Amino acid sequence: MNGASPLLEIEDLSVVFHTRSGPVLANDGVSLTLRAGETLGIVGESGSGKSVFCRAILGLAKGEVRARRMAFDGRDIAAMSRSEKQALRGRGIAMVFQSPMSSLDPVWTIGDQLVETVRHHKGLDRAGARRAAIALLDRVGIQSAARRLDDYPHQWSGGMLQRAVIALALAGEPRLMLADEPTTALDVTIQDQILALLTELQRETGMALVLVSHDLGVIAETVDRVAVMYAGRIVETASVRHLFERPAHPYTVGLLGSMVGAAGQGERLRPIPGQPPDLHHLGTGCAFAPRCSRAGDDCHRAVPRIDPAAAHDAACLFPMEAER
Amino acid sequence: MSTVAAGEEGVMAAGLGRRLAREVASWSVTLKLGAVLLALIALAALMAPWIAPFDPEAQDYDAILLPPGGVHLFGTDNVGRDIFSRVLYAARLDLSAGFALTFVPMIYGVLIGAYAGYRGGLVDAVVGGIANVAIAFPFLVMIVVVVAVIGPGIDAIYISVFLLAWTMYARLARADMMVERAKDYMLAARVLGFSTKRIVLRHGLPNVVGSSLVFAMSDFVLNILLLSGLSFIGLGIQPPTPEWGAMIAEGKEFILEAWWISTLPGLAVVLTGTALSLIGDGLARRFSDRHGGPA
Repeated sequence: MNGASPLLEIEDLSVVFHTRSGPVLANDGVSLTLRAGETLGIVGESGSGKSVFCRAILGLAKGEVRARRMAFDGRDIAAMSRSEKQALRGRGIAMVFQSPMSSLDPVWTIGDQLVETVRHHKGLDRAGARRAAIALLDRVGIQSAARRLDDYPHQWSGGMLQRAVIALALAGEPRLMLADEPTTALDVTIQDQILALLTELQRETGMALVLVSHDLGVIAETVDRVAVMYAGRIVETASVRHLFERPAHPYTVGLLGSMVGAAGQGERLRPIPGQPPDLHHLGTGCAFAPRCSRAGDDCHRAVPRIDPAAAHDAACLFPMEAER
Repeated sequence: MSTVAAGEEGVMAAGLGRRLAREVASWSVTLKLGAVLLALIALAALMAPWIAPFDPEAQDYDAILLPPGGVHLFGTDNVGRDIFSRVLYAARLDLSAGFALTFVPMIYGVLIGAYAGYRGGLVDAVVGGIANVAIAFPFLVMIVVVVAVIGPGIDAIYISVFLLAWTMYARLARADMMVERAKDYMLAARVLGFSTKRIVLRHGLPNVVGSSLVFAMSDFVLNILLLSGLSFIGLGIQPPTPEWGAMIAEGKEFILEAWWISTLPGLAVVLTGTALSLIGDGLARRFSDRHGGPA
């Protein structure tokens, strides 16, 4: 770690949904720092709190959000006024969603939506904004952008729409892009193209990128650093290489073991036994303990906190290798 | 730079004319047919003072109960008034009243419903409660009360309809908005930094107004029938003002010897209703097209 102040600092973020059947702890003590231009992957299974985390950063989570510190570029997000938050969205932090088909308003053309967004961020006139919109579409790899600009979203394929959504996100020249499962709804050949595009744009613009996915393979080829989430908590952070070579948390090991391609040739996939925990009834201990073969009695009592500044750390009392 | 050069044609393409042409080109035959039919009826109503051969209220006792044909294209009634002229003039009243009775409550109904649907919670509960009371209130009782207070006529109908008819639109818009509100593009718009007002007005409303527009077309027909029906029982337009329903009522005593007095204004109602229904069907298909639904 160098002395440069981080772009995003999250300390001890909790998000609680108050439901009829009691409180649900969707995020529990999540801490994370991200430097400018860094790429981070957040991996975890469905319901582990990845999307909630992204929305909480933008101030759009539905539940009750608490954090010791939530700062973007040194400024406290919680203390921002409504208009400052609106300015943060799009210009500071942009987000790309899972389903491109529903991320665009069906009643306006792609061009309308791009022009509206460019004008909102840059205050250009109509013709200037239209030129900027064409340039944006061009940049995300839409062929003959000028002609396709007046198409409605339903006339485009999923892959093209996701490119348009990325163009929209780029319109405000954000310093951080959150991509929440951006390729999950797309087929495999298109997935690679979108990931390559995100990587390329990240390098070109120098923005930071947070890629959220349930797919370790997607994460591995796109980012430098990974945070593994389980039941609303970050259980391990490491560089991609360290994570694959020396996973420390038993859950990470389980994830890797159940991943197609990571298991050696001819080896069987090893599913993680048991079910993800019910977030209504999380005890004080490690949420993975009931499914963990290494768990001891202490695991059911307390969870070790992860050090967000460490290069490689796991929230585990009995990590796989002690050479951290 | 090549991007900008290639873009020049695109920059010009945003013109309103081109957009309108593209819009019309995407219409189904049904929608085009309905639109043309309604336009013709509206044009005839608009041009009534020039097209109508006689004064619609002028009585001519030398030409009583003449059958259709000759100078009196649609024949004459029991006091010798020209039916064709009366049908034309009645179209002005029926169309404009039908339009106002439909679209005025639609505007505030959709706004109220969309807002309630987006906000939810207490706002929604209050609006829902008021709407339920308005829906439960029998319309005929309402109009009889209003007529008792201010006397029969078109104003009584306006007041009663404006008080009650918005609820249907509010319910439609509310239900649609609750669905739209949860969609990603609404969240995406917030992520892009747009204000709530802008999201509701620019991205919410256009997405929820569709079902109300489709419903408005049948509501339009119903409102013309309502106006005709109320005039028929004497609560609406008062004679001698020409109105389709009132004309049908006037002809009912002569239905056996002079069928044309009631039938031809009735035909005008049917024709207008058909045009509006075609438009309603076409619009429904048009909206599902835009959402990528089955054609």
